This record gives sequence, C-alpha cells and structure tokens, in this order.
Amino acid sequence: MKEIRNILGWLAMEEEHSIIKDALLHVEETYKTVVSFSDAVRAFQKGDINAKAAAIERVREGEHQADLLRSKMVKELSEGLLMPPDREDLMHFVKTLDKIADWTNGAARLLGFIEQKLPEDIMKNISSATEVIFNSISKLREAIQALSKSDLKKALVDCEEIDRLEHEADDQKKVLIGAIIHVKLEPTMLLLTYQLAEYLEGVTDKIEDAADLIKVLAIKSK
Amino acid sequence: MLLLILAILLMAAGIGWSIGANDAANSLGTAVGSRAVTLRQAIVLIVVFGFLGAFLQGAHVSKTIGKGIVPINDLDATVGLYLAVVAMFSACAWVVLATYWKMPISTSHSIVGAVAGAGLSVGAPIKWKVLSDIFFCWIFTPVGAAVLGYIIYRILKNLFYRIIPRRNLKLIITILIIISGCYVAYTWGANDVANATGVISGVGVLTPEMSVIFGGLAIVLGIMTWGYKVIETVGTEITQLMPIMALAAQLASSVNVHIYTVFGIPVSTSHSIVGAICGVGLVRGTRVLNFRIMRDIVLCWLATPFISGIISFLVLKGIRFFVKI
Repeated sequence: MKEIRNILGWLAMEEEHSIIKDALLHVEETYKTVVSFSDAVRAFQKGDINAKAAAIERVREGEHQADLLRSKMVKELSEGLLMPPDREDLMHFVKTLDKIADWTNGAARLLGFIEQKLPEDIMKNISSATEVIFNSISKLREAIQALSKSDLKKALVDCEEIDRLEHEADDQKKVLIGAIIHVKLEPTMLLLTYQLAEYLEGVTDKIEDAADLIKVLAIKSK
Repeated sequence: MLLLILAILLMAAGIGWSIGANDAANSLGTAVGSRAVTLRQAIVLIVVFGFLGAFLQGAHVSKTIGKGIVPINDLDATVGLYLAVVAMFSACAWVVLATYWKMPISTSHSIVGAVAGAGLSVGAPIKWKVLSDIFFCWIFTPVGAAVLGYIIYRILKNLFYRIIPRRNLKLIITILIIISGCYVAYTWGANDVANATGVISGVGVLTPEMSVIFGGLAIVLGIMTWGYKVIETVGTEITQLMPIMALAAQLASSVNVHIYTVFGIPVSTSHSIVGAICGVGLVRGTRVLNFRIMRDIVLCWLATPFISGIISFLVLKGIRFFVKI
C-alpha cells in the first residue's frame, strides 16, 4: 500500500509488513521443502532408498510447517479492526505460497512411489526440472526479501527472472515427456513418471503465480 | 526581522497543512467507510467543523503552547522570534524525518518538546509543572480514550440492540455517526490547530484570533489538497468498524480530546482515536494492536518530545554561536 502518515494508515501498513515478514518465513520453509526434494531426487539417482525416504519425509514435514504458517497468516488477515488495504492480494499471495509447498510435497510423494530405477535420460531431465524449481524458489525468496525492504525495483526484476524460469520449466517438461514416450515403461511407471513431470512443471507454475502477486503488491506500493 | 516572521508563518502553514492532510481522516473516515456520508460531504463537514473548533476553542491550547511552557511573550522580542522560528523548524524537521523513517509520531508531542528545548537553550524560565502535567495527560490520552470507548460501546450496544426499534436503527445510527464525526472534527480542530499557531500567537506575530484563523485555513488547505485521499483510504480500506463501533470510538475519542482542550492541554488526537478503537475492540475481544506495534508507538511517543527538544536546543545554541541574541 502507499504509505501515509495517518496513524490508522500507519497501523494498517504495519499489519501488511507483518504479513510480508511471515511470507518470508513461509518461503523459507518452502525453500527447505524444495531443497529436501532435490536431495530426494539425488538419492533416487544414486539408488539410495533410505536417503530418498528420509528426504521425502523432510519434504512432508516442511509442507506441514508451511501449512501452519499459512493458517497463522490467514488468521491475521481475517481478524482485527484495522486491516491492510491490500489484504485481498495478500490473501491470494498467502494461498499461492502454500500451493508451492503442496505441489512440491505432491511431487515428492510420487517420487516415493517410483521404486525402480528410471532410464538415464528420464533421470537427467527430472534432475534438470528440479534444478529449475530450485532456481525459481531462490528467486522468489529474494523477491519477497526485496519487497519486505521496500526495494520494489529488485522485487520486480526477480519476478521477471521467475517468469523466464517458468518458460524454461515448460520446455523442460516437453523434453521430459518426450523422453518418457521414447522409453518403453511399464504402465504403472509410465503413469507415475508422467504425473511427476506434471507436478514438477506445476511447482514452477505456482512459483510464477506467487511472483505475479508480488508484482501486484509492488506496483500498488509505488 | 521580517524574514524571521515569514519563516515562522511558512512553517506554521506547513504544520497546519500536514495536520489537515494526515489527521482529517480520524474524524469522518469511518462515516465515509460505512457510507453514512459521501467523501465530498465528509470533506465539507470536516472543513466546517474543524475550522469552527480551531476558531472557537483553539485559543485554549494555543495559549499553553505559546505562553504556558515558556513565556515567550515575556522574553526580549528578538530572542522570542528566534525561539519561535527554531521551535517551529525543529518540530517540522522531526515530523518530516519521522515520516521518512515511517515512525508514528505526534505533531503535538513534537511541538511541545521543541518549544521546551528552545526555551532551555536561551535560558528562559521553563514551567516544569505545566510540562509534567502535559506529560501525564499524554499517558492518559490513549488510556482514557480506551476506557471511554469500552464504556460507551457497551452502553450503545445495549441501547441499540435492546431498546431502539430495529426499523429505526439504521437511520438513527447514520445520523449519530455523522454528528459524532463532526464532533471529532471540532475537537480535532480545537486541539491540533495550536500545534501550528501556538507559537505564532505566543510570540505576538499574529493576535490569538488571527493565528487560529491562519492555522485553521492551513488545515483546510491540507484537507482539500491531500487529506481527501487519506480519508478515502482510511474509511473504505483500512477501518473494519461496524457502525455502532465507529460511533462509540468517535464519541470516546472526541469527549476525551475535548476535556483536554478545555484545560488547554495539547494531546495527540491520533492516540486518542487509536485508544478508543482499542477500547471498543476489547468489548468484542478483537485484537487491534499486537505487542510489537504497541511497543513501537510507545517508543515513538517517548522519543518525540526529547528528540524535537534536543534538535531545537542544539539549533538555537548553534544560531547563538553565530548571531548575538
């Protein structure tokens, strides 16, 4: 929101800053879930089943923590007599942030079901898609940090980079599906791997949605 | 000498403008939000009642700021003028800096501290009793408003939900919200105009009547040029008060400020409205301020008179180093 010196305006602005600070904590949790998911993919590549299971469990725990934070933020946004004027955008933002962790958890769950080692070409593409997700969430974290410090220019530049990464994720999905089609997988594995490809692309989609809302908040603050 | 007078008037106009621009929303903002009045009607009412308050009762607080803390009129004319210029400059400077740093400070606290600091700098007799009274009143401003808000809301809730027939409820509340909003505007004008004009009348640049008219016009200018945007934002986007809650908060705040105005005490009308909203919120068990926000407000409130006082003390010392006064 545009800053005003009126005391009620100031109080509303403080509420907004408080939500954005919580969003920063939320994105940290989401970042941890993505890191754990990357660990799971790496462990799967190496064939280390125990490490993969442990990493998937960490993703689940991270998603649960993110959920708790989301509930707290929604509660803060819905109660009180003085509210941030951008509360609707903030509410969408909070929900979108939560979806990133949800989708990462979904991808991790699918990875947990895949027990056989996948062909090298597919593994390589899953690994690349995970790297794109990791880069996107890192940029989202930077964008929220910039927003909390009112560095709107940096926040917008980071969001542009997230858009670019989302296009990269789309291309990556195409290549991954191509690889899945060309390798003859048994039906269960085919279904699971295809779903995983969908989820991997879905995570970057959700990150892009969050970035779009950061753009809205940043533009409204100008 | 003429330059000093012009500088005082310019800064007084600046402070008046800032008050009009930022604090007008505290009176009829909620009435705009609840659609009891349109934005245009609210502006007209705030301008009329704010100006009336300044004109009819503004002199009480003006006297305290202009003569009650430091007897500026008893000082040598040149010393008085320098004191006035520096006090106004320091209050303005701290308000601008605090705004830049996003701190919720009160103009009333700033001007009181600045006058006392400038007085100390020239060795003028400071009326410590008046200052300590003002300080205690600052503590009781939000607390008293909260207590009043709590009591008034409880009474109104029972009155409106149990006694008044339902079919007349909306109309009666709408009328009362408008009346209480006008009362807030009146008490706001009466108490806050002194922040801009107290020093002017104290030093004798303008008569007390002329100074409150001058301050009142500066406040009106602030409302017309910027205040309307703030009224709209506060009324429609920020405050989530139901009509009876808005009415109770407005009544509590205005009665609270009016009592201090009658005794000539400059208090923060902003702290009063926040206190009143907290009191109303308490009845409903709703959180208005969290601990961190409350701590920030108290810190700013404590720091403001000291910082503006130190600024005016040092600036006037610096001027006396170069100019023989």
